[in-house]
Amino acid sequence: MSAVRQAVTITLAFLLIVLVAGAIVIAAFERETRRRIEDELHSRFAEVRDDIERLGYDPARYPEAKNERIEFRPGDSDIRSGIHNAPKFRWAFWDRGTTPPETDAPLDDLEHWMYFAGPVRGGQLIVATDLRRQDDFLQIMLKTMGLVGLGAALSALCLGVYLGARTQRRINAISQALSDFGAGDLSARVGGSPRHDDLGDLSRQLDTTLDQLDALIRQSRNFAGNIAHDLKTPLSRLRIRLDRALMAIEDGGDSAHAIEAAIAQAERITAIFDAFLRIAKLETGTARASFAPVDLGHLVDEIFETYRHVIEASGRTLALDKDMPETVSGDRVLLAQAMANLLENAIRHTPGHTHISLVAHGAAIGVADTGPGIPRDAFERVTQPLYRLERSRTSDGSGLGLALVKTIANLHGADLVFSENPQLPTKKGLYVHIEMSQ
Amino acid sequence: MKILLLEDDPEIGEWVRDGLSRAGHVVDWLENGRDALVRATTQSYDLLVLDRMTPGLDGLSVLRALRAAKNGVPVLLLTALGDVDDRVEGLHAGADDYLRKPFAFSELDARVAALGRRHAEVAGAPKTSLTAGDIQLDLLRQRCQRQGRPVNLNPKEFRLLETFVRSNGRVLTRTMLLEKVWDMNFDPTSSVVETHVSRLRAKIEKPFGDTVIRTRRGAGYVFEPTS
Repeated sequence: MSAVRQAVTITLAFLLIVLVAGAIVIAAFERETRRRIEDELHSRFAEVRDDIERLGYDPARYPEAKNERIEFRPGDSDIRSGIHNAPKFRWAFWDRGTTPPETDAPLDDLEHWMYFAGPVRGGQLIVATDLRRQDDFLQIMLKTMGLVGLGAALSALCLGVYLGARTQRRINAISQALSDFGAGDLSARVGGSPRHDDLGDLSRQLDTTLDQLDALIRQSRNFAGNIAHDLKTPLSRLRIRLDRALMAIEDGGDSAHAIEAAIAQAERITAIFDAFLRIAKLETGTARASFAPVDLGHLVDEIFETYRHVIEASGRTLALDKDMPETVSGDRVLLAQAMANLLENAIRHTPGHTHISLVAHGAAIGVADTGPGIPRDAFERVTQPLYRLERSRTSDGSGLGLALVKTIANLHGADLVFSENPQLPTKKGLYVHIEMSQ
Repeated sequence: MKILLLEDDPEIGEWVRDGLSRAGHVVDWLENGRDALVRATTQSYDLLVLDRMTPGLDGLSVLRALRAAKNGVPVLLLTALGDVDDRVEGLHAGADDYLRKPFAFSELDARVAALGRRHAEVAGAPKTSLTAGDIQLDLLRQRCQRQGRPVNLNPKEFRLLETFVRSNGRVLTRTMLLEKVWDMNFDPTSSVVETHVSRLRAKIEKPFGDTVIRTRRGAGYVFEPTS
């Protein structure tokens, strides 16, 4: 609960400041009032002295008042005019006309008075004023200040603790979410906080980052799982073929065939890894640095020339469907590879006599065929690494062809789009294309 | 040929060295790039086979240093799987050829042989025609004649035949043909090369009743013109 500790610390500091400030204020106040009382006393003394010197001393004119004493003592005066200590003037607090006992018996009241004494004609005069007025005032002020200070400190403490605890709760939520996520709970999020303050912004930012991490982790988990899954078959085939080669050697037979078959499996495994690594590398987007203008018409011409006879030899036909092909910024070799992959997929997954077209319409290039097509709901899934429709599980290929094509499309800022073959009236077949911008 | 091999993996290094030795080459095998650069500058080799990733100094840096010093020795670069831009980068740095690991030894053998020959050929004025036995190629007009009779080839077929003629009886692998004729640095699973070679043979062999392009099993093709 560091936030509460913080609140307490701040409150204590606040209290200390209030106390020091209060002491300074009170000291200043005391000094000021004392100075004023002295001034008042002085002018009162001067007034009374003038009266006495003009009219003579008449005690009736100066009755005992609650806050003021005025006494005259005839005879010689040896005191200086000014403020004096109390004990000298004990007589001034005795009943008039009597003489106070010459003892040092305490006379409480004396302490609370301030005396202005001085010589007047025919004696000495003393004017005293009760300081308790000022003391009372000071007391009230002290009390008020204390109460106000204490109240303020308490409020500050409560507010601090409350705000601190609230912030602490939100920080705890963040750290809890992060540690949960770190411990493997990919669904952990900071959540809540619609507030638009620093912590709210931070929480939202963290949640977005966690979403992205979640997606990435799930993707790579899938990816790793898929690699492992897809390597199972070629690896066990490799094993079997090496076993066969060994048996052939032991039997004194011809092992070359089995070894060649094993090498073919090793090459397939290599191809799977290669495709994975290529996809991973292409996803970093560094290939974009080498983009150059690519004439799509020229590109499909070349692919057409390369694949026409291959496809015809397989009993299928290949047609070129060009409509105002454009020049785009891209990587010619990668785009050629994408088209080659699409064509090879078309060969692999369609029956003989299928008509295949290589399409270049504007900034779109792709491959259309009159084969059985794929279910609409599989349009998205087929681009996932190693995804294969059930019926093609057994066919050759790395299982990464379409994933690589999609990666190449994405590298060119385009998507890989699946649809039925628009040239067929029956709305069947398959048309896969990359639609680029210039 | 005297060949300098830079390869830090002991098993691959031994395999390549033994294979090349058996093919009649003299092989110096080093595992450290710095040593290889020193050796390549102090001794004369017919060919350098450099692995890209090696300790000390990587193969690509060795190649760059040699080319910067105007050393034109033929270089074959070996690189790891999945390095998409390596071919471009390697060729740009001055490599004469490029081979991706893992490879079949026959692939390396064919490329080493091709590079050795390339070095032996003194670069002169570009040829405008090629002759191999009774086959003549007019490179300017892209025409082909055999025994004085014109053979009608499409551009890819002409390029394919030209590559065979230039190979001078050396083995050409499927991958080498893909790179030279189609400029593809990937390996199509379908039979692009096989189909085009068989079409070329139908035009260049069938009417004349003989065989000039032979299939070398597990290796590639060999062009053997009849005179």
